[in-house]
Amino acid sequence: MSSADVTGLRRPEVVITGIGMVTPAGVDTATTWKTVCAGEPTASADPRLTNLTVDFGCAVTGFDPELVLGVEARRMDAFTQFAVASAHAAVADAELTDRSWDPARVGVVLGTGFGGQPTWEEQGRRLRDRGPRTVNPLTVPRAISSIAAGTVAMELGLHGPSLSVATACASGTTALGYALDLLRAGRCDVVLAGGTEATVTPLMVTAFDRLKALSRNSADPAGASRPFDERRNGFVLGEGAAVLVLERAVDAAARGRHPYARLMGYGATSDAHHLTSPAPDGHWAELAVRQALADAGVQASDVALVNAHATSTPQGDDIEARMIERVFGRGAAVVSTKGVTGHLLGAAGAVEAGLTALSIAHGVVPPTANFRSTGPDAADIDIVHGATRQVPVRLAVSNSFGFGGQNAVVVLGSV
Amino acid sequence: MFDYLCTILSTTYQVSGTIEPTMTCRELELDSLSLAELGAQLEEDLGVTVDEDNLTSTTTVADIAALLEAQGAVVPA
Repeated sequence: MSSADVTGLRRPEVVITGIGMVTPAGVDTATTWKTVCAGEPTASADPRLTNLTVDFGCAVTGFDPELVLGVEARRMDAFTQFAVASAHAAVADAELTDRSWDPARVGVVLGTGFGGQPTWEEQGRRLRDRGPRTVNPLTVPRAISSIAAGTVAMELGLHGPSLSVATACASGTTALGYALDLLRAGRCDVVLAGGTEATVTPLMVTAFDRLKALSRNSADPAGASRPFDERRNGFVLGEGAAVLVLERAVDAAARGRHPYARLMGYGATSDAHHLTSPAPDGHWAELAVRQALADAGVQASDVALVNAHATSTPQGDDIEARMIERVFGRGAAVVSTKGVTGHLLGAAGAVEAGLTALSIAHGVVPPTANFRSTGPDAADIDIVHGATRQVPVRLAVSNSFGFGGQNAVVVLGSV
Repeated sequence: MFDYLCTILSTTYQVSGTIEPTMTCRELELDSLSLAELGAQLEEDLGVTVDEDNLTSTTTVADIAALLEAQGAVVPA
């Protein structure tokens, strides 16, 4: 029944037919897109972080888990709540119903770097402060990193493979790559793929700050995440999720559903260099980009948009910018949407692939919030900033690079 | 106390239909995860101790109420 072929011939074309998001920029996809296009930074002081060195982040606001998910929400960590809400929204957006699919042929692949971090921290505090008797018996099923994917399957009655993937900040993109492979291999008819993270917590903010990874711009949180800008000084932690509905193009066409975009290619490499620093020459990140382009069967010169990983760290953004310059020159518009959303870690790649699909669907590239200039000696790339750019986007790339040197890149194209 | 338990069981634990004092946790369709959660919730909210042995599938709602009242539990406002 499948036309999958490991040699790359007669592979099924895979499309994105539904997008669900819960992000600091909005608790649904439309609001998130609007905020991102407006270039409105979402970082602000966070009561969860009071008295810490870094007391701000990009929080999801206005999300009522009980309202969206019902009484079962109490059994879910925030990272699961974000994922389940996003999955429901994505399936509704794709106009899939129970009769649209064979549940045993629907998979769930979700990236997450940390899983139920808020639960681990809260229960750890209870153990220390009030003793073992006060540790919640649901701690493990709430917090294990695989439970978001498992709960999405449970809530939607899906019986295909469900799993979490962890490649740190590349997890969301890695999930899309594996979902693409599941569809190409004929193991699934539909895959809900994305990423979720809930790491705006006291321990995570402190731990990242101890690594000197975060901006300490508490005086001006909204200006703290400034990808590619010469005054950037670290990233801002964000939280949220995105889930994309991936299916074969022929199936979407048979349902009469017009996709946002095609998911055309995936590339993944490892720097094998350092625990936290990217390889300084960006060689292996570049190889991941070139692999993804080759997998999609396209040329770098045809790419109109790069949604960069650029998190607003001095070193990471510089290495990525030089890599983008080598591969694309000034031929592709470049944006980092993290100026608005902050860095959603394991969810980032999924959110950014979703935003990239919307750029393709609408012919609009959002601006890089807080970017003014790169400063001297920076790579010569075309960073969209100040306002949205209206331009047809036939082909786009979305980059994600994780601590540990894990690189993942997807190529998306117009339908 | 019985009314308080009925409220928790029908809302948080989504027990449907009329809850009688003589009904066991099995009859209320509370699985072992729900029993563990219920015990922890009662300890948290009422400041009592609910041993695993005192909250099993054969425990009735009246048994739970008696256990709580014996420890001087007061229904939270």
